[in-house]
Amino acid sequence: MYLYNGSDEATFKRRMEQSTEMQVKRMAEVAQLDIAQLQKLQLAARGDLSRFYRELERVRNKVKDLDARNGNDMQKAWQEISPLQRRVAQGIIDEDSLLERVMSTLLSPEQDQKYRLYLRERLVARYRSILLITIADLEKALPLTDKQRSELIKLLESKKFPQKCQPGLEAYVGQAMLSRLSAGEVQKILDEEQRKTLTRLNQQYAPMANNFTW
Amino acid sequence: MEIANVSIFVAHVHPPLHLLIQFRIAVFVACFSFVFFGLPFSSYSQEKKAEANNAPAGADVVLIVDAELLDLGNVAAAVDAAVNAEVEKVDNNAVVEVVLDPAVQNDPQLWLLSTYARVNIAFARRACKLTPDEERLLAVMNDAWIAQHMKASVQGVAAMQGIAAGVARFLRGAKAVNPARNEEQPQQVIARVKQAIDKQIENALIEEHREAYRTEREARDKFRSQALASVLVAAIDYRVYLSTEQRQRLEGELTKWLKKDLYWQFYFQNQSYIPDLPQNVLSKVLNKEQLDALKGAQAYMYDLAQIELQMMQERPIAIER
Repeated sequence: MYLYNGSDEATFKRRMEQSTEMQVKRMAEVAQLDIAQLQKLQLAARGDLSRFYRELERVRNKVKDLDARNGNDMQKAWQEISPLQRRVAQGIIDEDSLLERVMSTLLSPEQDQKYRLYLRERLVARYRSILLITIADLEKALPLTDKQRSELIKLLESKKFPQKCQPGLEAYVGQAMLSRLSAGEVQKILDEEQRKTLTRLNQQYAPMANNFTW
Repeated sequence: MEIANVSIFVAHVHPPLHLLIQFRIAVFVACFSFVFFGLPFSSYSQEKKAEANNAPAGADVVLIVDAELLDLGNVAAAVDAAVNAEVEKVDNNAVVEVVLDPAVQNDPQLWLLSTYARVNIAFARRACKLTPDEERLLAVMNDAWIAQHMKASVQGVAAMQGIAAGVARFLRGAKAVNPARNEEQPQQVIARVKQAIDKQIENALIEEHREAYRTEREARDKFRSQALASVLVAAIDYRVYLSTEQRQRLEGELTKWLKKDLYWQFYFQNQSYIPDLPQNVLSKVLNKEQLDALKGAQAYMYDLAQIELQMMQERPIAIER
Protein backbone atom coordinates (compact mmCIF):
# COMPACT_ATOMS: atom_id res chain seq x y z
CA MET A 1 0.00 0.00 0.00
CA TYR A 2 1.26 3.54 -0.80
CA LEU A 3 0.88 4.44 2.85
CA TYR A 4 3.69 2.21 4.05
CA ASN A 5 6.49 4.10 2.26
CA GLY A 6 8.04 0.94 0.95
CA SER A 7 8.00 -0.98 4.21
CA ASP A 8 5.76 -3.92 5.15
CA GLU A 9 2.62 -3.56 7.23
CA ALA A 10 4.18 -4.85 10.45
CA THR A 11 7.06 -2.33 10.22
CA PHE A 12 4.63 0.48 9.38
CA LYS A 13 2.49 -0.32 12.43
CA ARG A 14 5.51 -0.60 14.69
CA ARG A 15 6.64 2.88 13.59
CA MET A 16 3.18 4.32 14.14
CA GLU A 17 3.17 2.89 17.65
CA GLN A 18 6.67 4.19 18.35
CA SER A 19 5.73 7.65 17.16
CA THR A 20 2.58 7.77 19.30
CA GLU A 21 4.45 6.44 22.33
CA MET A 22 7.08 9.15 21.88
CA GLN A 23 4.40 11.82 21.76
CA VAL A 24 2.76 10.51 24.94
CA LYS A 25 6.10 10.43 26.74
CA ARG A 26 6.80 14.04 25.77
CA MET A 27 3.36 15.03 27.06
CA ALA A 28 4.01 13.21 30.33
CA GLU A 29 7.37 14.89 30.67
CA VAL A 30 6.23 18.48 30.05
CA ALA A 31 3.07 18.16 32.15
CA GLN A 32 4.87 16.13 34.87
CA LEU A 33 2.29 13.34 34.95
CA ASP A 34 2.29 10.57 37.57
CA ILE A 35 2.38 6.87 36.63
CA ALA A 36 -1.40 6.40 36.82
CA GLN A 37 -1.99 9.39 34.53
CA LEU A 38 0.65 8.15 32.10
CA GLN A 39 -0.96 4.70 31.93
CA LYS A 40 -4.37 6.22 31.16
CA LEU A 41 -2.83 8.30 28.36
CA GLN A 42 -1.08 5.25 26.92
CA LEU A 43 -4.40 3.41 26.96
CA ALA A 44 -6.10 6.31 25.16
CA ALA A 45 -3.28 6.39 22.58
CA ARG A 46 -3.77 2.66 21.94
CA GLY A 47 -7.45 3.39 21.40
CA ASP A 48 -6.56 6.03 18.79
CA LEU A 49 -4.25 3.58 17.05
CA SER A 50 -6.94 0.87 16.99
CA ARG A 51 -9.37 3.36 15.50
CA PHE A 52 -6.82 4.28 12.84
CA TYR A 53 -6.15 0.63 11.99
CA ARG A 54 -9.88 0.00 11.60
CA GLU A 55 -10.02 2.92 9.17
CA LEU A 56 -7.02 1.48 7.34
CA GLU A 57 -8.80 -1.87 7.00
CA ARG A 58 -11.96 -0.18 5.71
CA VAL A 59 -9.95 1.63 2.99
CA ARG A 60 -8.07 -1.52 2.11
CA ASN A 61 -11.34 -3.40 1.54
CA LYS A 62 -12.66 -0.55 -0.54
CA VAL A 63 -9.68 -0.36 -2.89
CA LYS A 64 -8.71 -4.04 -3.09
CA ASP A 65 -10.72 -4.74 -6.27
CA LEU A 66 -9.59 -1.62 -8.11
CA ASP A 67 -7.29 -2.04 -11.09
CA ALA A 68 -3.91 -0.30 -10.66
CA ARG A 69 -3.55 -0.04 -14.48
CA ASN A 70 -6.76 1.89 -14.84
CA GLY A 71 -6.47 5.67 -14.42
CA ASN A 72 -9.98 6.13 -13.03
CA ASP A 73 -9.54 3.33 -10.53
CA MET A 74 -6.24 4.80 -9.42
CA GLN A 75 -7.87 8.17 -8.89
CA LYS A 76 -10.60 6.57 -6.76
CA ALA A 77 -8.00 4.73 -4.73
CA TRP A 78 -5.99 7.90 -4.24
CA GLN A 79 -9.05 9.75 -2.94
CA GLU A 80 -9.39 7.11 -0.23
CA ILE A 81 -5.71 6.78 0.61
CA SER A 82 -4.59 10.42 0.65
CA PRO A 83 -6.52 11.42 3.83
CA LEU A 84 -4.88 8.49 5.62
CA GLN A 85 -1.48 9.51 4.30
CA ARG A 86 -2.05 13.05 5.59
CA ARG A 87 -2.99 11.70 9.00
CA VAL A 88 0.11 9.55 9.15
CA ALA A 89 2.30 12.56 8.27
CA GLN A 90 0.57 14.84 10.77
CA GLY A 91 0.34 12.22 13.52
CA ILE A 92 -2.87 10.52 14.52
CA ILE A 93 -3.13 12.50 17.76
CA ASP A 94 -5.10 15.63 16.98
CA GLU A 95 -7.92 17.72 18.45
CA ASP A 96 -10.46 14.96 17.77
CA SER A 97 -8.37 12.13 19.18
CA LEU A 98 -9.35 10.08 22.19
CA LEU A 99 -6.06 10.99 23.82
CA GLU A 100 -6.76 14.74 23.63
CA ARG A 101 -10.20 14.21 25.16
CA VAL A 102 -8.78 12.13 28.00
CA MET A 103 -6.08 14.78 28.54
CA SER A 104 -8.66 17.51 29.02
CA THR A 105 -10.26 15.64 31.95
CA LEU A 106 -7.17 13.96 33.34
CA LEU A 107 -4.79 16.88 33.89
CA SER A 108 -4.85 19.29 36.80
CA PRO A 109 -5.15 22.97 35.81
CA GLU A 110 -1.44 23.40 36.52
CA GLN A 111 -0.45 20.39 34.41
CA ASP A 112 -2.79 21.49 31.66
CA GLN A 113 -1.18 24.94 31.65
CA LYS A 114 2.31 23.45 31.37
CA TYR A 115 1.20 21.23 28.53
CA ARG A 116 -0.51 24.08 26.65
CA LEU A 117 2.59 26.20 27.16
CA TYR A 118 4.78 23.51 25.62
CA LEU A 119 2.47 23.20 22.61
CA ARG A 120 2.42 26.97 22.12
CA GLU A 121 6.19 27.23 22.48
CA ARG A 122 6.61 24.48 19.90
CA LEU A 123 4.23 26.17 17.48
CA VAL A 124 5.91 29.57 17.92
CA ALA A 125 9.34 27.96 17.33
CA ARG A 126 7.94 26.50 14.12
CA TYR A 127 6.40 29.77 12.96
CA ARG A 128 9.47 31.74 13.99
CA SER A 129 11.71 29.51 11.87
CA ILE A 130 9.41 30.08 8.89
CA LEU A 131 9.45 33.82 9.55
CA LEU A 132 13.27 33.91 9.58
CA ILE A 133 13.67 31.96 6.36
CA THR A 134 10.98 34.15 4.77
CA ILE A 135 13.11 37.20 5.59
CA ALA A 136 16.13 35.44 4.10
CA ASP A 137 14.04 34.75 0.97
CA LEU A 138 12.81 38.35 0.94
CA GLU A 139 16.43 39.44 0.58
CA LYS A 140 16.51 37.88 -2.86
CA ALA A 141 14.33 40.78 -4.00
CA LEU A 142 14.90 43.34 -1.29
CA PRO A 143 18.45 43.50 0.09
CA LEU A 144 18.80 44.40 3.76
CA THR A 145 21.83 45.49 5.73
CA ASP A 146 22.66 43.55 8.87
CA LYS A 147 21.22 46.38 10.98
CA GLN A 148 17.99 46.59 8.98
CA ARG A 149 17.56 42.81 9.16
CA SER A 150 18.00 42.77 12.94
CA GLU A 151 15.52 45.63 13.38
CA LEU A 152 12.97 43.99 11.09
CA ILE A 153 13.22 40.68 12.97
CA LYS A 154 12.92 42.48 16.30
CA LEU A 155 9.82 44.29 15.08
CA LEU A 156 8.18 41.14 13.74
CA GLU A 157 8.97 39.13 16.86
CA SER A 158 7.32 41.78 18.98
CA LYS A 159 4.07 40.98 17.14
CA LYS A 160 1.71 38.14 17.87
CA PHE A 161 2.38 34.91 16.06
CA PRO A 162 -0.80 33.26 14.71
CA GLN A 163 -2.74 30.89 16.96
CA LYS A 164 -3.19 28.46 14.09
CA CYS A 165 -3.49 28.28 10.34
CA GLN A 166 -5.40 26.41 7.68
CA PRO A 167 -3.79 23.09 6.72
CA GLY A 168 -1.06 23.32 4.11
CA LEU A 169 -0.54 27.08 4.43
CA GLU A 170 2.01 27.22 7.22
CA ALA A 171 4.80 28.10 4.79
CA TYR A 172 3.15 31.49 4.27
CA VAL A 173 3.15 32.55 7.91
CA GLY A 174 6.19 34.82 7.40
CA GLN A 175 4.63 36.61 4.45
CA ALA A 176 1.36 36.98 6.32
CA MET A 177 3.20 38.57 9.26
CA LEU A 178 5.17 40.92 6.97
CA SER A 179 1.97 42.04 5.26
CA ARG A 180 0.45 43.03 8.61
CA LEU A 181 3.17 45.60 9.38
CA SER A 182 2.03 49.20 9.15
CA ALA A 183 3.63 51.75 6.80
CA GLY A 184 4.82 53.75 9.83
CA GLU A 185 6.59 50.74 11.35
CA VAL A 186 8.32 49.88 8.10
CA GLN A 187 9.34 53.49 7.46
CA LYS A 188 11.59 53.45 10.52
CA ILE A 189 13.63 50.57 9.13
CA LEU A 190 13.60 50.61 5.32
CA ASP A 191 14.53 53.30 2.78
CA GLU A 192 12.08 54.50 0.14
CA GLU A 193 13.06 52.03 -2.60
CA GLN A 194 12.95 49.14 -0.15
CA ARG A 195 9.50 50.18 1.05
CA LYS A 196 8.20 50.34 -2.52
CA THR A 197 9.51 46.83 -3.18
CA LEU A 198 8.04 45.50 0.05
CA THR A 199 4.65 47.02 -0.78
CA ARG A 200 4.64 45.31 -4.18
CA LEU A 201 5.67 41.99 -2.63
CA ASN A 202 3.07 42.34 0.11
CA GLN A 203 0.32 42.91 -2.44
CA GLN A 204 0.85 39.34 -3.59
CA TYR A 205 0.66 37.84 -0.12
CA ALA A 206 -1.63 40.10 1.93
CA PRO A 207 -4.71 37.87 1.32
CA MET A 208 -2.74 35.01 2.91
CA ALA A 209 -3.13 36.65 6.32
CA ASN A 210 -6.84 35.71 6.24
CA ASN A 211 -5.94 32.04 6.42
CA PHE A 212 -4.47 32.43 9.89
CA THR A 213 -6.17 32.79 13.27
CA TRP A 214 -4.46 35.67 15.05
CA MET B 1 44.87 32.72 -20.67
CA GLU B 2 42.58 34.67 -22.95
CA ILE B 3 44.06 37.54 -24.96
CA ALA B 4 42.06 40.41 -26.35
CA ASN B 5 43.21 42.79 -29.04
CA VAL B 6 42.73 46.40 -28.16
CA SER B 7 43.07 49.12 -30.76
CA ILE B 8 43.74 52.55 -29.34
CA PHE B 9 43.15 55.72 -31.35
CA VAL B 10 44.53 58.96 -30.04
CA ALA B 11 42.30 61.73 -31.33
CA HIS B 12 40.74 65.08 -30.63
CA VAL B 13 37.46 63.78 -29.35
CA HIS B 14 35.41 66.73 -30.54
CA PRO B 15 34.81 66.72 -34.30
CA PRO B 16 36.55 66.71 -36.65
CA LEU B 17 38.33 63.60 -35.45
CA HIS B 18 41.95 63.30 -36.47
CA LEU B 19 43.47 59.93 -36.38
CA LEU B 20 47.01 60.42 -35.15
CA ILE B 21 48.43 57.13 -34.03
CA GLN B 22 47.21 53.62 -34.22
CA PHE B 23 48.79 50.73 -32.51
CA ARG B 24 47.64 47.43 -31.28
CA ILE B 25 48.42 45.86 -27.98
CA ALA B 26 47.59 42.52 -26.49
CA VAL B 27 46.05 42.70 -23.07
CA PHE B 28 45.88 39.81 -20.71
CA VAL B 29 42.23 40.01 -19.84
CA ALA B 30 42.65 38.34 -16.49
CA CYS B 31 44.98 41.11 -15.33
CA PHE B 32 42.74 43.94 -16.45
CA SER B 33 39.39 42.27 -16.00
CA PHE B 34 38.09 45.16 -13.95
CA VAL B 35 38.13 47.26 -17.08
CA PHE B 36 37.71 44.84 -19.92
CA PHE B 37 36.11 41.69 -18.56
CA GLY B 38 32.50 41.47 -19.45
CA LEU B 39 32.18 44.63 -21.47
CA PRO B 40 29.45 43.77 -23.93
CA PHE B 41 31.53 44.47 -27.00
CA SER B 42 31.36 40.98 -28.34
CA SER B 43 27.62 41.23 -28.94
CA TYR B 44 28.69 43.24 -31.95
CA SER B 45 30.15 41.48 -34.91
CA GLN B 46 33.75 42.37 -35.69
CA GLU B 47 32.70 43.94 -38.98
CA LYS B 48 30.09 46.19 -37.35
CA LYS B 49 32.64 47.36 -34.80
CA ALA B 50 35.23 48.14 -37.39
CA GLU B 51 32.71 49.94 -39.52
CA ALA B 52 31.37 51.94 -36.60
CA ASN B 53 34.77 53.12 -35.50
CA ASN B 54 36.59 53.23 -38.81
CA ALA B 55 39.08 50.82 -37.33
CA PRO B 56 40.60 47.67 -38.75
CA ALA B 57 38.67 44.42 -38.42
CA GLY B 58 40.09 42.03 -35.86
CA ALA B 59 40.19 44.46 -32.95
CA ASP B 60 38.15 43.31 -29.94
CA VAL B 61 38.05 46.70 -28.26
CA VAL B 62 38.48 50.07 -29.90
CA LEU B 63 39.16 53.10 -27.73
CA ILE B 64 39.29 56.71 -28.89
CA VAL B 65 41.54 58.62 -26.51
CA ASP B 66 41.28 62.38 -26.15
CA ALA B 67 44.52 63.91 -27.45
CA GLU B 68 44.03 67.12 -25.45
CA LEU B 69 44.03 65.18 -22.20
CA LEU B 70 47.09 63.29 -23.37
CA ASP B 71 48.81 66.56 -24.20
CA LEU B 72 48.25 67.58 -20.61
CA GLY B 73 49.99 64.40 -19.53
CA ASN B 74 46.87 62.95 -17.95
CA VAL B 75 47.08 59.50 -19.50
CA ALA B 76 44.92 57.70 -16.93
CA ALA B 77 42.13 60.26 -17.22
CA ALA B 78 42.26 60.07 -21.02
CA VAL B 79 42.00 56.28 -21.02
CA ASP B 80 39.25 56.35 -18.36
CA ALA B 81 37.21 58.83 -20.37
CA ALA B 82 37.63 56.72 -23.48
CA VAL B 83 36.58 53.54 -21.69
CA ASN B 84 33.53 55.22 -20.22
CA ALA B 85 32.51 56.63 -23.58
CA GLU B 86 32.79 53.19 -25.14
CA VAL B 87 30.88 51.53 -22.31
CA GLU B 88 28.02 53.98 -22.65
CA LYS B 89 27.92 53.79 -26.43
CA VAL B 90 28.11 50.03 -26.81
CA ASP B 91 25.99 49.41 -23.76
CA ASN B 92 22.89 51.00 -25.20
CA ASN B 93 23.17 49.29 -28.54
CA ALA B 94 23.82 45.93 -26.96
CA VAL B 95 20.84 46.34 -24.65
CA VAL B 96 18.61 47.11 -27.61
CA GLU B 97 19.86 43.97 -29.36
CA VAL B 98 19.08 41.84 -26.34
CA VAL B 99 15.83 43.47 -25.33
CA LEU B 100 14.41 43.19 -28.83
CA ASP B 101 15.14 39.48 -28.95
CA PRO B 102 11.79 37.76 -28.23
CA ALA B 103 13.54 34.65 -26.92
CA VAL B 104 15.32 36.72 -24.31
CA GLN B 105 12.23 38.72 -23.36
CA ASN B 106 10.62 35.58 -21.93
CA ASP B 107 13.72 33.88 -20.65
CA PRO B 108 13.29 32.90 -16.97
CA GLN B 109 17.01 32.20 -16.70
CA LEU B 110 17.79 35.77 -17.73
CA TRP B 111 15.17 37.12 -15.32
CA LEU B 112 16.66 35.11 -12.52
CA LEU B 113 20.20 36.29 -13.19
CA SER B 114 19.18 39.83 -13.97
CA THR B 115 17.34 39.99 -10.64
CA TYR B 116 20.35 38.49 -8.91
CA ALA B 117 22.61 41.19 -10.36
CA ARG B 118 20.15 43.96 -9.66
CA VAL B 119 19.55 42.94 -6.05
CA ASN B 120 23.24 42.52 -5.31
CA ILE B 121 24.06 45.90 -6.79
CA ALA B 122 21.31 47.40 -4.63
CA PHE B 123 22.83 45.49 -1.72
CA ALA B 124 26.27 47.02 -2.42
CA ARG B 125 24.63 50.45 -2.57
CA ARG B 126 23.32 49.92 0.95
CA ALA B 127 26.52 48.42 2.31
CA CYS B 128 28.43 51.58 1.31
CA LYS B 129 27.93 54.83 -0.55
CA LEU B 130 29.01 54.08 -4.10
CA THR B 131 31.05 56.60 -6.08
CA PRO B 132 29.96 57.61 -9.61
CA ASP B 133 32.84 55.53 -11.00
CA GLU B 134 31.68 52.46 -9.11
CA GLU B 135 28.11 53.02 -10.30
CA ARG B 136 29.37 53.25 -13.87
CA LEU B 137 31.26 50.00 -13.60
CA LEU B 138 28.28 48.26 -12.04
CA ALA B 139 25.95 49.59 -14.74
CA VAL B 140 27.90 47.47 -17.22
CA MET B 141 26.07 44.43 -15.84
CA ASN B 142 22.93 44.91 -17.89
CA ASP B 143 20.83 42.21 -19.56
CA ALA B 144 23.19 42.15 -22.54
CA TRP B 145 26.16 41.48 -20.27
CA ILE B 146 24.27 38.72 -18.49
CA ALA B 147 23.03 37.16 -21.74
CA GLN B 148 26.60 37.16 -23.01
CA HIS B 149 27.86 35.44 -19.87
CA MET B 150 25.04 32.92 -20.05
CA LYS B 151 26.06 32.06 -23.57
CA ALA B 152 29.72 31.80 -22.64
CA SER B 153 28.87 29.64 -19.63
CA VAL B 154 26.71 27.27 -21.68
CA GLN B 155 29.66 26.76 -23.99
CA GLY B 156 32.01 26.38 -21.04
CA VAL B 157 29.80 23.82 -19.31
CA ALA B 158 29.26 21.90 -22.55
CA ALA B 159 33.01 21.84 -23.17
CA MET B 160 33.70 20.60 -19.64
CA GLN B 161 31.02 17.94 -19.99
CA GLY B 162 32.43 16.93 -23.34
CA ILE B 163 35.85 16.42 -21.76
CA ALA B 164 34.36 14.53 -18.82
CA ALA B 165 32.31 12.34 -21.15
CA GLY B 166 35.39 11.66 -23.26
CA VAL B 167 37.41 10.63 -20.25
CA ALA B 168 34.53 8.46 -19.00
CA ARG B 169 34.19 6.80 -22.40
CA PHE B 170 37.90 6.17 -22.51
CA LEU B 171 37.93 4.63 -19.06
CA ARG B 172 34.65 2.72 -19.00
CA GLY B 173 33.14 2.69 -22.47
CA ALA B 174 30.37 4.75 -24.06
CA LYS B 175 27.76 3.80 -21.46
CA ALA B 176 29.66 5.69 -18.80
CA VAL B 177 28.50 9.06 -20.16
CA ASN B 178 26.15 10.68 -17.67
CA PRO B 179 22.67 10.65 -19.26
CA ALA B 180 21.42 13.49 -17.01
CA ARG B 181 24.08 15.99 -18.07
CA ASN B 182 21.74 18.11 -20.16
CA GLU B 183 19.35 18.49 -17.25
CA GLU B 184 22.12 19.68 -15.00
CA GLN B 185 23.35 22.26 -17.41
CA PRO B 186 21.02 25.20 -16.56
CA GLN B 187 21.90 24.90 -12.88
CA GLN B 188 25.60 24.96 -13.67
CA VAL B 189 25.17 27.91 -16.02
CA ILE B 190 23.24 29.84 -13.36
CA ALA B 191 25.92 29.09 -10.78
CA ARG B 192 28.69 30.24 -13.11
CA VAL B 193 26.98 33.48 -14.11
CA LYS B 194 26.20 34.23 -10.46
CA GLN B 195 29.90 33.82 -9.72
CA ALA B 196 30.75 36.20 -12.58
CA ILE B 197 28.27 38.76 -11.20
CA ASP B 198 29.73 38.46 -7.70
CA LYS B 199 33.21 38.91 -9.10
CA GLN B 200 32.21 41.89 -11.22
CA ILE B 201 30.61 43.62 -8.22
CA GLU B 202 33.68 43.10 -6.05
CA ASN B 203 35.97 44.30 -8.84
CA ALA B 204 33.92 47.43 -9.34
CA LEU B 205 34.32 48.52 -5.72
CA ILE B 206 37.22 50.39 -4.16
CA GLU B 207 38.96 48.50 -1.36
CA GLU B 208 37.16 50.17 1.53
CA HIS B 209 33.76 49.61 -0.07
CA ARG B 210 34.64 46.07 -1.03
CA GLU B 211 35.43 45.33 2.60
CA ALA B 212 32.10 46.80 3.77
CA TYR B 213 30.24 44.85 1.08
CA ARG B 214 31.95 41.59 2.05
CA THR B 215 31.12 42.09 5.72
CA GLU B 216 27.45 42.62 4.89
CA ARG B 217 27.44 39.64 2.56
CA GLU B 218 28.95 37.38 5.18
CA ALA B 219 26.31 38.50 7.69
CA ARG B 220 23.58 37.85 5.13
CA ASP B 221 24.91 34.39 4.25
CA LYS B 222 25.30 33.47 7.91
CA PHE B 223 21.75 34.57 8.62
CA ARG B 224 20.36 32.52 5.74
CA SER B 225 22.26 29.46 6.85
CA GLN B 226 20.93 29.79 10.42
CA ALA B 227 17.38 30.41 9.21
CA LEU B 228 17.57 27.36 6.97
CA ALA B 229 18.86 25.22 9.83
CA SER B 230 16.06 26.49 12.03
CA VAL B 231 13.38 25.59 9.50
CA LEU B 232 14.85 22.10 9.05
CA VAL B 233 14.72 21.64 12.82
CA ALA B 234 11.01 22.56 12.69
CA ALA B 235 10.46 19.89 10.03
CA ILE B 236 12.18 17.27 12.22
CA ASP B 237 10.44 18.48 15.38
CA TYR B 238 7.10 17.88 13.73
CA ARG B 239 7.90 14.17 13.71
CA VAL B 240 9.80 13.56 16.91
CA TYR B 241 8.68 16.15 19.48
CA LEU B 242 12.01 17.74 20.34
CA SER B 243 12.57 19.44 23.66
CA THR B 244 13.47 23.15 23.64
CA GLU B 245 17.08 22.26 24.41
CA GLN B 246 17.21 19.68 21.60
CA ARG B 247 15.82 22.24 19.15
CA GLN B 248 18.58 24.71 19.97
CA ARG B 249 21.34 22.12 19.85
CA LEU B 250 20.15 20.63 16.58
CA GLU B 251 19.97 24.08 14.99
CA GLY B 252 23.61 24.69 15.94
CA GLU B 253 24.70 21.33 14.53
CA LEU B 254 22.80 21.83 11.29
CA THR B 255 24.15 25.35 10.78
CA LYS B 256 27.66 23.90 10.89
CA TRP B 257 26.76 21.07 8.53
CA LEU B 258 24.60 22.84 5.92
CA LYS B 259 26.41 23.65 2.70
CA LYS B 260 23.68 24.03 0.09
CA ASP B 261 20.56 26.09 -0.24
CA LEU B 262 17.28 24.21 -0.02
CA TYR B 263 13.73 24.55 -1.26
CA TRP B 264 12.47 24.55 2.34
CA GLN B 265 8.77 25.03 1.50
CA PHE B 266 8.71 21.45 0.25
CA TYR B 267 8.80 20.06 3.82
CA PHE B 268 5.78 22.13 4.84
CA GLN B 269 3.76 21.33 1.76
CA ASN B 270 4.63 17.61 1.80
CA GLN B 271 4.65 16.61 5.43
CA SER B 272 5.25 12.97 4.65
CA TYR B 273 8.81 14.02 3.74
CA ILE B 274 11.61 15.05 6.05
CA PRO B 275 14.99 16.55 5.12
CA ASP B 276 17.63 13.91 4.53
CA LEU B 277 20.03 14.72 7.35
CA PRO B 278 23.10 12.63 8.17
CA GLN B 279 22.83 10.18 11.04
CA ASN B 280 26.04 11.45 12.64
CA VAL B 281 24.54 14.96 12.97
CA LEU B 282 21.15 13.79 14.23
CA SER B 283 22.62 11.30 16.69
CA LYS B 284 24.44 14.11 18.51
CA VAL B 285 21.07 15.49 19.62
CA LEU B 286 18.25 12.97 19.20
CA ASN B 287 17.67 9.97 21.47
CA LYS B 288 17.40 6.41 20.18
CA GLU B 289 13.61 6.46 20.10
CA GLN B 290 13.58 9.64 18.03
CA LEU B 291 16.20 8.30 15.65
CA ASP B 292 14.16 5.10 15.16
CA ALA B 293 11.03 7.13 14.46
CA LEU B 294 12.82 9.00 11.67
CA LYS B 295 14.02 5.81 10.02
CA GLY B 296 10.64 5.10 8.50
CA ALA B 297 10.13 8.56 7.04
CA GLN B 298 10.68 9.49 3.41
CA ALA B 299 13.80 11.66 3.44
CA TYR B 300 14.89 13.98 0.65
CA MET B 301 17.11 17.03 0.27
CA TYR B 302 15.35 19.36 -2.15
CA ASP B 303 18.11 21.55 -3.57
CA LEU B 304 16.88 25.06 -4.34
CA ALA B 305 18.76 25.02 -7.64
CA GLN B 306 16.40 22.25 -8.81
CA ILE B 307 13.38 24.54 -8.63
CA GLU B 308 14.82 28.05 -8.96
CA LEU B 309 13.98 28.31 -12.64
CA GLN B 310 10.42 27.00 -12.29
CA MET B 311 9.86 29.63 -9.60
CA MET B 312 10.72 32.28 -12.20
CA GLN B 313 7.72 31.73 -14.43
CA GLU B 314 6.50 35.22 -13.63
CA ARG B 315 8.64 38.31 -13.99
CA PRO B 316 10.10 38.86 -10.54
CA ILE B 317 9.66 41.93 -8.39
CA ALA B 318 13.04 43.44 -7.65
CA ILE B 319 14.48 46.58 -6.23
CA GLU B 320 15.87 49.59 -8.14
CA ARG B 321 18.35 49.27 -10.97
